Amino acid sequence: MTARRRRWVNVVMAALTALAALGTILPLLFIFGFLVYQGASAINLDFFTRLPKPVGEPGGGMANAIAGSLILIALASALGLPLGILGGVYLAESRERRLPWLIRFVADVLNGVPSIVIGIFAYTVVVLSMRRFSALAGGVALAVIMLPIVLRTTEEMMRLVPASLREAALALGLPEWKVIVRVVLPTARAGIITGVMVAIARVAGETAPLLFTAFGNRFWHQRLDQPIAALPLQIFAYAISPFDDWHRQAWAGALVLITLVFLVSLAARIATRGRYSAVR
Amino acid sequence: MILAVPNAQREAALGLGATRWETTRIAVLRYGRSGLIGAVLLGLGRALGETMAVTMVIGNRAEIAVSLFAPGYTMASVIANEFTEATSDLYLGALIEVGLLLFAVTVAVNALARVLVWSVGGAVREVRE
Repeated sequence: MTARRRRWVNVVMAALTALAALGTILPLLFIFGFLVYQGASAINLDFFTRLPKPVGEPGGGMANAIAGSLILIALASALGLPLGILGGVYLAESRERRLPWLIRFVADVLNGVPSIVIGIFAYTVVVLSMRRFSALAGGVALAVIMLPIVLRTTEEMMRLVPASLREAALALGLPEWKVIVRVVLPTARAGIITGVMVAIARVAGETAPLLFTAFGNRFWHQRLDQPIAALPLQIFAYAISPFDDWHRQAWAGALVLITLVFLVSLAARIATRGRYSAVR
Repeated sequence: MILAVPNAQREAALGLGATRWETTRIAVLRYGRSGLIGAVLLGLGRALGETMAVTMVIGNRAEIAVSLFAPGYTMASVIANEFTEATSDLYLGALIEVGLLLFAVTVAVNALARVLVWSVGGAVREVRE
């Protein structure tokens, strides 16, 4: 009797856990389906090549926002990647105990700090001192968000490099820095690139920290110390507007954004197929 | 977190005749409990500071509503909505203070979560979210 009951509970719980796991996929499917349903009709060549039209005029596109987002991501990468990757090398290679532990902890906590708070930080440091909203301020905010992700992934990917490889290089008489630059980093490259892509995918969709740093712009931006448009900002502005045409464009913008993020994440996955299993 | 639980735990439970679910419940979930709580807290920390998704749907009314179905406000939404409108230094200062409070809350939640997660997985092997 109890044996049968135990077996029954086992089957029920197996089914429940499988169902819960499936439940995780559903939101993504629904979101994507809804975006295609609502946004696909507004996607055309104009959407990618034209500037936004003034209120009331139909048509126009988000070319400036797409370009702006790419520029912001490039800026954030230029600021955040060297710092993150070099810091990750330190965390992985240092023989100290306390300082790396502290950095790891702080980086992980920073990773959980709301992006809007990071936006305030960039505002007080960059916008207030320059006295205007700028692409640069937006880039700084996004770089701060990327930093802990890149730092920690770089560290963990370098740790996956087998000790025997390191030892072989050292035994051949290579100095330590050469072991790191010529042996460890190239071996961990695919993993580090994944971390970078994950970080890019994360910041590509960030809206909150850009509200009062990059600020948005309805025209082609001219310089990096001027306000700049970004895809998430434009989507937000259009989505809360009262115009049907803008709503359609917001859906289309969201569809473009989610497709971009999906492609980047997919590329990241493919770059490190099989490598994650080695962690465990 | 669950992958960080040693296999010997599972094998011991299975060896005593437990079913798959009993193994999971007794040997795996209990062993990794603090890490699981940490993971939940990490998720909570992320949700606490979520700005845009909440701002668009919560209604943005500066009242404490009695009903869960009435419009409300969150710290992050206040900042997002009013920051660019803040004209006086006092207004701006107040909004930055809201940001400080939000920062303090999320840092506390995240710090606790990390300690719990590390207690199971170790700092270096921890599972990325």
